[in-house]
Amino acid sequence: MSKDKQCFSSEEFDVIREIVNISMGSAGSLLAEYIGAFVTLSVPNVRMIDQEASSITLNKLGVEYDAINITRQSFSGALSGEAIFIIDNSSNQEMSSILGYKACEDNNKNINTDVLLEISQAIIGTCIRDIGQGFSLDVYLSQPTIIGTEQPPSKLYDLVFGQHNTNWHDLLLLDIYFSIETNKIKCHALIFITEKSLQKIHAAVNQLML
Amino acid sequence: MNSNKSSDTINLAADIVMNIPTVGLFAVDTRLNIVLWNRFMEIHSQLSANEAIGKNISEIFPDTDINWLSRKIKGAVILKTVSYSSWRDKPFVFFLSNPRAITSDEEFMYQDCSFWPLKETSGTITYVCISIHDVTEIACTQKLIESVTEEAVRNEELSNRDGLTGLYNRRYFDNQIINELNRADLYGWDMCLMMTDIDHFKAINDTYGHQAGDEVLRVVGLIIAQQLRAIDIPCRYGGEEFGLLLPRVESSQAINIGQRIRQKVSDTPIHYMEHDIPVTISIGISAFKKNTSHEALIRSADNALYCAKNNGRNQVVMS
Repeated sequence: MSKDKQCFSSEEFDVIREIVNISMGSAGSLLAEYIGAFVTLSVPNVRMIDQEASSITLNKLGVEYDAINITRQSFSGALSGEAIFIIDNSSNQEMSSILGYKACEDNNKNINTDVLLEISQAIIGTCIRDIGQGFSLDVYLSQPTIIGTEQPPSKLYDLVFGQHNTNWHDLLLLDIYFSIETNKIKCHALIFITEKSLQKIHAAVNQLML
Repeated sequence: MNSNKSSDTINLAADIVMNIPTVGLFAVDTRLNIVLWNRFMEIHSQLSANEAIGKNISEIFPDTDINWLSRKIKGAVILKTVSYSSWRDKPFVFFLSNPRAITSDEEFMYQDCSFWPLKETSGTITYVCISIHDVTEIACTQKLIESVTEEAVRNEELSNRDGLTGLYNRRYFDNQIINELNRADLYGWDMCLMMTDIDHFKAINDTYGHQAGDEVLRVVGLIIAQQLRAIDIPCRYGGEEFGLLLPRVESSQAINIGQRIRQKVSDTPIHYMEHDIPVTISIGISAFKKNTSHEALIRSADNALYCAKNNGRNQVVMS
């Protein structure tokens, strides 16, 4: 594998955006069917980021929310990386009633973790699967974990990256914003794709550009 | 391709799936009826494949949260993707008995499960496969670690407390004075130290007995704690003496707080057996000034307390 920093030309980026866009379209309609609600997705923001840019992205993203709940999930195979899912408290509660969960019995807990895990796995699972298909790259999802519940948004970066020394340099980030039932529910998926997958994406993109 | 060889491989794969000793595997159709049941499932549910196949999940696991499970299955069918559950959030998706029944007190097997769709060549999903990993060992270890950590935190907290009054003890207080002094110095904040002593405590012990004395200490400690803010640090300094550290409080406020505590104590006769014991306290206060050492701060509060005692007790003196 080349030691050079993997870069995409602007034409290649256009193709990547297009593939991700189409994948998100099919993911969105499946999610709508599953949730039984109207789902809109933003046009995914696709870009290369380094560690500094990731901290800026996460710090900016936090300010839209009051208190947030965060999960993460790995994916491996030809397409590998980690996805971060972020949903604010009130959206999680709305989601809980849409999915037909009973009110949380434990009064000390405002956040139903069943709902959090269900919606995050549905969204991440569908997006990753469809993106993998879009690039014709094999992908397997691992078990998700909850990173934090009812956290102040200012802690987002620390919760995601802060606990350890990260040893990556450049990642491909797909930043997707979801609105369910016309903004009653807002959530975010950040899909970080590792450096080792970039060459495979490169090859897949060039195949499509032929 | 040699068709014998390929059917051998399929048989081998089927044998592995059916007999793998570490993973429970079964499959259901979209109506949640069992279509496959491996050896692990037979052993841990004590139902043979013959007994299980064709039955509905809700019959086999009547205690399972069937609504939750139905959504998982529905998700696999519609979204055509895998999803997981973890013992941390859902310890017992299926109630299987804990194989470690003798050396642990857990009744059921902790489990991590996965749910994934089995796609037919046509692309439609007819079956959903469910795997169960026994993680009882991991869960028990994790729970042990958590309970030990919790206990260590509780012990640490207890080791900072005085057993009788529940206020902080002298060791913790002395550390906190230094911390608060540094902070006040750094940010230019006010801070006051209050030394409090129960008047004629020896006479109370002599008249009513030591248990009465203990009750007086306990109630006075309680009254002091009730008059303070969360950031104040009250301690039993020794014997019948209490030390109170008041961060971000200036002299006149400290005098008010001291008067309030003194008044409250003198207004509250302390019940012990059939007695109502009248109690008063004397208070000496020193205010932090730039470059005051903690020894000097304590000395000057002690001197003020000495004045309060000499002037007739039941009063507050500012150094």
